[in-house]
Amino acid sequence: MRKNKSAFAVYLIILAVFAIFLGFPVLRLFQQALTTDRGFDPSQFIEVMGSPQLRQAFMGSVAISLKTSILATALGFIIAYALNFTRLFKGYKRFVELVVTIPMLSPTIVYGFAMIYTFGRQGILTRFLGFQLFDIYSTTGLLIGFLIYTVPISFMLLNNSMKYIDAQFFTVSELMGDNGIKKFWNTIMIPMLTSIGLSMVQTFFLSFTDFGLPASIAANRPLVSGLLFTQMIGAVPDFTRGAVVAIAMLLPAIATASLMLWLRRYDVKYDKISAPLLKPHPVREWAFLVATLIPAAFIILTFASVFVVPFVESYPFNLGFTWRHFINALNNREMVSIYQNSLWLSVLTGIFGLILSFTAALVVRRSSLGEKWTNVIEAMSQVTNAIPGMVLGVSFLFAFTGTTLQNSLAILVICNVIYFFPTPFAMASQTLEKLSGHFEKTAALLGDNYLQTLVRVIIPNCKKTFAEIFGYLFIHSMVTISALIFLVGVRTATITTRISALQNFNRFDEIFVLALLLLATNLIAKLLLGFLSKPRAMKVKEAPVKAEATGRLMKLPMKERKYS
Amino acid sequence: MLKLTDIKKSFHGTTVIDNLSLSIEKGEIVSILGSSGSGKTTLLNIILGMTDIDSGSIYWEGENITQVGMKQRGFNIVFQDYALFPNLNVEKNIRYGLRNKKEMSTEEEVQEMIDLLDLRKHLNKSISQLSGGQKQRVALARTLVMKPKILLLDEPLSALDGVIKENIKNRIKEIVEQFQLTTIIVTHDPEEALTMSDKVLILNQGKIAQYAAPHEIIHEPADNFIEEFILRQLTIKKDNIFSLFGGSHA
Ligand SMILES: Nc1ncnc2c1ncn2[C@@H]1O[C@H](COP(=O)(O)OP(=O)(O)O)[C@@H](O)[C@H]1O
Ligand SMILES: [Mg+2]
Repeated sequence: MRKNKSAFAVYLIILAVFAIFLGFPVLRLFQQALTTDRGFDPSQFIEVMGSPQLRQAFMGSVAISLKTSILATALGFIIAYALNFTRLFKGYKRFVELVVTIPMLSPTIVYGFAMIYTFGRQGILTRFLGFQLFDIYSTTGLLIGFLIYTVPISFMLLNNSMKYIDAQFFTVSELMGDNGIKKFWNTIMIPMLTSIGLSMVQTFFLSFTDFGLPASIAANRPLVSGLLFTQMIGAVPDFTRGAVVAIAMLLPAIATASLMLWLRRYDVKYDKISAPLLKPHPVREWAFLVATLIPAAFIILTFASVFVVPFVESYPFNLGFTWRHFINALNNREMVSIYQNSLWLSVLTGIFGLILSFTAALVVRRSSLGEKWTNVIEAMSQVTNAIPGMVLGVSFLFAFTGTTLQNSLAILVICNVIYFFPTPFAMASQTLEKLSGHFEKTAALLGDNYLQTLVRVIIPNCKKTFAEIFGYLFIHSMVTISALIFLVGVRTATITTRISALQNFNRFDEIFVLALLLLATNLIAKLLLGFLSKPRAMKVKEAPVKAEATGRLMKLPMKERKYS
Repeated sequence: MLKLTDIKKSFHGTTVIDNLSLSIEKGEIVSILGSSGSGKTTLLNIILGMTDIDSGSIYWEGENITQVGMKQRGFNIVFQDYALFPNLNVEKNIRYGLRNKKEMSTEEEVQEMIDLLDLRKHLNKSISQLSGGQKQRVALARTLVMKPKILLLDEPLSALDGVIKENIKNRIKEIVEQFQLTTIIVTHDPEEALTMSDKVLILNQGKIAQYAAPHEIIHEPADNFIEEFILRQLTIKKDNIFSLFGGSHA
């Protein structure tokens, strides 16, 4: 009974955290949009919602997001298919998988600038080819940017379910006399339908709510994220209009999040029993080689500029090699402190996010509190999942301006911790669920108190998950911008927000030094944490991962897959 | 002596243990036998102190322990899934409780238990390297070094098969007799219940159908239920074997 009481106390603390840092800010957002000094007054809300400006931005965002969603899912599917159902060389498959996941280590705002330096009028590739492949400031440019951003996520989602398609499907299909299209439909498409749906909704959500890409290459294009930014931080800020735009961004986000929640119910994961035997098929092999080389080349070319530009005197005028930009950056107090801010933010988000998500998962999965209580936390996680970073950021701005939290590192950490909560919570829940339900009772009968059991049994069995959660939070904090853009102060600027600000002064040398530092930090973090979580006692086949700028949960493989 | 009087327990309005009274002598092996959902685990958890009762009393050696918590009762259990800690090796699992209460067993006693359960060559293994029978033995050792006043076993054999099952069955019997341990074993298998224990308690929908020595149950089944559902199982098994290979009903 007593233990139940302390579990309940912890439960209440978690609820309080979400009430203060999720419920209250969102309430303030609606208050800002729907009231004036004289009380409830929806006239401005109605006016802005009906304004041609918002309608145009909304339609623009929907249009580009729909295109992204269809193309990213198709491409992700093709790449996953190439990895699972062709006889392409094993090493090549691993290479493709590696390349395709690189963009996840970098913020979207960096892709934009990287694209300018690769594909722009003076871009590396343009100069090499002698002509421009596409206009980066056109719809095509933005679309390619969004694809670089979302194809990795679509690929990981689809690959993760495609690799569990069992060879028995093929045998059965053949025995039933299926051939050609029918066989493909029955053996691959049917088991993949849910994942395809999830991928489409997820990629739509990502591009609809992204801030970085539009900010870097589509600043003048009417999109919801740009409109929200200018309403809040533009030349004539109008917080009420900003709040209404934020709500306009929130509504489709909630719709897509609910859609994904619904789709996930049909997401059955099979334990793969056997891999299909593939007969050699040169046409198929060549087709998929080309189909995977093109997106891989796009990614490599885009990121090439991140590795080249910081070491070039003055692109494109003087192409001599130099360390000058790095040395300047390291001697620049401001740059160093920005890098430190990002590191601190990511480390602290990792630590506090881990504590919050693990504690919540402990209460939900391993306490004797009834479902009617714990479902509240699950529901909260779903709600958090549906909130775009920019909307959470704006809500925080309304809620905590004028408090001691304003302009502090703490507010950035808290905002990130809440924003990223759903995935670490799901990861911790998954692991805790797999531990025997009798551990606590057994340990208590062997003389432990609850804290001892936690330290001696529960936590040691979650070590790998801790590393994975920390890594997830660290890397995502390093690349996030949407949740922070409204909250950073002069002293708390991070790499991503600084990159966004520097573009106004055309200080691209610094932008690229920062971009490279960020990418390198994430690569190192990924390698280190991958190394830490290698020898695993508990086999966790997959863990859900949330992508930057979403609240969306998705299942991504945490372990590199060996292709055979 | 463990004594339960008029125990009642219901979950969400459904009665699971219905006015149950029973007593178990010190050093006795008692099996609780019943079909799935008959309330065996619930009864075990009530004795252990893990589940609160709605009404009734529990006495241990004359003392009312109804309100005494699970840890203070001094009983112990081996759960059906063994609940071995995968982050610790076999030896550390066995010694887990001794780190909290050194005084429960001397070093010699620990060594004796390790040998008795034939675990010496597995001491440094991790839990994931063990077979089902080995896990069962580790879990038993970990519980036994704590010298429980009553040893509770929830379906200790259900995850094992064939020779290993017979082996563990005999070993449990041996140890329990050697240490004169009061032991309560939950099972759904009539053969196990009737061969392992001094007394068998047959549960039917939360009520005692019969509580008696095995020979008594076989020769004087208390009611139709026992004849129909418990003893018939054994007869059917026997008949099947005889009809396959021939032979007389000796
Ligand atoms: N914690 C609980 N909450 C609700 N119902 C329970 C709980 N524990 C057991 N029951 C119910 O009580 C009945 C008896 O369960 P149990 O004692 O586990 O049976 P057995 O071990 O004989 O299979 C079952 O119908 C079960 O669903
Ligand atoms: Mg049971």
